[in-house]
Amino acid sequence: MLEIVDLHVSVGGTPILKGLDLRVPRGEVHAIMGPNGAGKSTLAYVLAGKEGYERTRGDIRWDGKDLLSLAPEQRAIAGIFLAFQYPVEIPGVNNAYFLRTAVNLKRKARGEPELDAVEFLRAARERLRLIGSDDGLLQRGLNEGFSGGEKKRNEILQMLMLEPELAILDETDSGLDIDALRLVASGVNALRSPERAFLVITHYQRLLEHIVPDRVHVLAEGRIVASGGPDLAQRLEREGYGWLAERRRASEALG
Amino acid sequence: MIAPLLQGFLDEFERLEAAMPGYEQAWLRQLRRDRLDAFVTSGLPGRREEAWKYTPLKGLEQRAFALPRGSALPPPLPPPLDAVRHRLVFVDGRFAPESSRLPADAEIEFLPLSEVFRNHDAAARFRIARLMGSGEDALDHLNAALATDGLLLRVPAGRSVREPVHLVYLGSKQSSGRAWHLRGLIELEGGARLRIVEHFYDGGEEAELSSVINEIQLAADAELELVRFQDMGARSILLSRTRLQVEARGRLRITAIDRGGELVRSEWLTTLRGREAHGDIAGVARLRGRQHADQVVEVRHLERDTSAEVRFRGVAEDQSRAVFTGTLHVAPGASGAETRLSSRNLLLSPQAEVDTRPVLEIHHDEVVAAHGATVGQLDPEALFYLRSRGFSETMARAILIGAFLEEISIRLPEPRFAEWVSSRMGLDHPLPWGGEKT
Ligand SMILES: Nc1ncnc2c1ncn2[C@@H]1O[C@H](COP(=O)(O)OP(=O)(O)OP(=O)(O)O)[C@@H](O)[C@H]1O
Ligand SMILES: [Mg+2]
Repeated sequence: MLEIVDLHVSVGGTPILKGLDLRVPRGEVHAIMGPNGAGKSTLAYVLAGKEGYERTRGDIRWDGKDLLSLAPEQRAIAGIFLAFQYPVEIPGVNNAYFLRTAVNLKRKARGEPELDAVEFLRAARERLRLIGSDDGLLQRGLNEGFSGGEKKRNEILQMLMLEPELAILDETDSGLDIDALRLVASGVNALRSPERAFLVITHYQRLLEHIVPDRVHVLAEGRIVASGGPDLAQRLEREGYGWLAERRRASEALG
Repeated sequence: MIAPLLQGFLDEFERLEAAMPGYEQAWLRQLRRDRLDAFVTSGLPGRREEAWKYTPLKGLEQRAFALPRGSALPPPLPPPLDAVRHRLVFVDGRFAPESSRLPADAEIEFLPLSEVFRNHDAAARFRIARLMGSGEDALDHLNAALATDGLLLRVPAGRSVREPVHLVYLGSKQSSGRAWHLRGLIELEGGARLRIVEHFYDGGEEAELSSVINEIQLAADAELELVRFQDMGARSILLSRTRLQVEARGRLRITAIDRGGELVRSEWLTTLRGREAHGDIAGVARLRGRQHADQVVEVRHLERDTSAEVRFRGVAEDQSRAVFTGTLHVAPGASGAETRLSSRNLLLSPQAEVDTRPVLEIHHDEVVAAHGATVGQLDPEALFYLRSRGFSETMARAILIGAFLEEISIRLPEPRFAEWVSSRMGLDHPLPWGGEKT
C-alpha cells in the first residue's frame, strides 16, 4: 500500500505540492488527472526520488516504510517504477545492455539467478510482442533518436521486464497513436495483479477506457481536490476542470 | 647555481657516457655532448613558453633522477599482451630481447637502436644521425643526449603486415627516481600497411621520469593505424612526442588514450606533406586524483586536398587537470584541404580543471575548416533516469562516462584489449566498451 499524508514539496524554493493525501492499496489502479502545471509530474518524481524536490512536510510510506529515506536505485530495487513523461535520450548506451543490466540488478537483489543474453532476449521479445513492437529498438542507443511513441513503448517494455510492485505512469498515453494506446494499455493490464499498485497520470479519458481504474483523483494546485470512480473521468472529459474550481470556491465561501 | 635536475643529468652522463652504446663513434659522442649542453643551457620550459603554458616543467628542475644501470627484469606483462605474435618490449629505456618476439615471417625490418649505434654502415649512419639530430627544444635535446636505445622499424614497399605490432614501453620501478629515454624511427615505404599498439606502463608506484620520442614516416600510399594505451604509475612523469610525416595519399589513424601517470605530455605532431594525405587523430584523457595530462595535436597541411579529423575527449575527476591544445595549420599552397577538430570534455568535480585550446592557422581561402570545444558535466537527468532503473550512482556515472567516450573507444582493435582498457579506466561494463562494432 502506498500512503501519502499531507505532502508538501518545494522545487527551487517554490511550493508545488501543498498538502497532498493519497492512498493506493496493492491490487488497485488509481488515475490522476489535473490541469497542466498542477504538480502531477512533481508527485511522480518525488515518488521515484529525483533530486531537487524538497519535502517540507508530510510523509510517503510504501508498505509502512519511509520511502523518502531511500535513494532512487533503492526504490527501484524495492519495486517502484516510473514511466517518464519525457524519457531521457542516452546515446552510446545500448538499449538491450541497459535493460538486461537493470533486470539483473533487481534479480540479484532478490537472490534470483541473472538472465544471460539469450534468456534476456527471449523474455524481451515476448514482452515486445505484447506491445506490438519488434526488437529493433533493443539494438539502438537508449532512447536515442526514438520517436515520441517509441520512447513511450520503451518505457512500457522496461516496466514489463522489471515487473514493479508500484508503477507510476506519467502521461504514457500522450504521443501514442490509437493502436499503440491500445497495445500499451494491454501491456499494463497484463501486469495487473493483486500484488501490484498502479498510479496512472493522464489527461485523457480514452486511456481509462482501456485501463479501467479503481479510483480517479483530480490533482489541482498541489492537492487532491476530488476523488471518485471511473465516471469522474468521464465528467472531466465532458466539462473540463472549471466546475471543480467553482465548487471549491463555493465551499470555501461557505466554510 | 645549476638546478639539481640539470646537475644530476650532467653527473650521470659523465659517469655513464663511456658505457653508452656507440661511445666509440666520435660523431655520436660529439652529438650527445652537444645536445646535453644545449639542454643544460635551455633548461626545462617554464610558464612563459606558450607551448608549455599549462604544463610548466620548471618545477621538476628541483628534483634529481638517476639513469638506469644494468638491465632490469621486466614486470609481468598485462594479460592482453600474452597471446600477441609481434611484440617489442623496452624496459627502463632498453630493448628487452627476452620479452620480445618478432618472427621472421612478419616481414618487418627491426633493429634496436643500441645495436645500430655500435655498428652501422654509411646509410644507417645517415638515418640515425638525422634521427638523433632532429628537434630543437629542451625535450628533444634531453632525449637525444640520454636515449641509449629505441627502435628502428621499417616495413618494405607494398607489404601489408596483418598482425599488429605491439610496442611495450615500461618502467621496472626497481628503484625510485629513475629516468629513462627512448628514441625511435618507424618507416613505412610506399604502399606499406602496418598496425601498431603502444603500451606504456610500470611495475610500481615509484617516482620516475621518462621521455619517448618517435619519428614515423609514411611514404606515398602507406597506411598506419596506431593505438596507444598509456597506463603509467601514479608517480610517473612521461614526456612523449611523436612526429608523423605523411606523403601523398598516405593514411594515418591514431587513437591515443592517456589514463595513467602523475604528469604526462603527449604530443602528436603531424605533417601532411603529399597530396591527399589523410590524418585521423583521436584521443582520450581519463584523469583522477592529482593527475595532469597535456595532450598536444598539431596537423600541418602542406599540400592540396589533404584532410584531417582530430577528436579528443577529456574526463577530469577529483583534482586532476586535463589540457588539450589542437593546432590546425593550412599552408598557402594547400587548396582543397579539409580540417576538423573537436575537443569535448567532462568535468566531474569542482576541483578538477580542463583547459582546451583549439588553434586555427589558415593561410588559404579554398579550404574547409571547423573546430569546436566544449566543457560540460554529466547530465543529471540521465543520471536520475539510470538510477530510477536500479543502477547505483557509481555505476550510472561509469556508464555515462563510457557513453561519452564511446565514439573513441569503439576504435580499440580487439575485444580483449578493449575490455582490458575499459576495466583499467573504471568503466568495466561490457558495453558500450566492446571493441569495434560490426
Ligand atoms: N525545476 C523547477 N523549477 C521551478 N518550477 C518547477 C520546476 N519543475 C516544475 N516546476 C513547476 O512546478 C509546477 C508543476 O509542474 P509539474 O511538471 O509537476 O506539472 P504537471 O501537473 O505534470 O503538468 P503537465 O500536465 O503539463 O505535465 C509547474 O508550475 C512547473 O512550472
Ligand atoms: Mg507532467
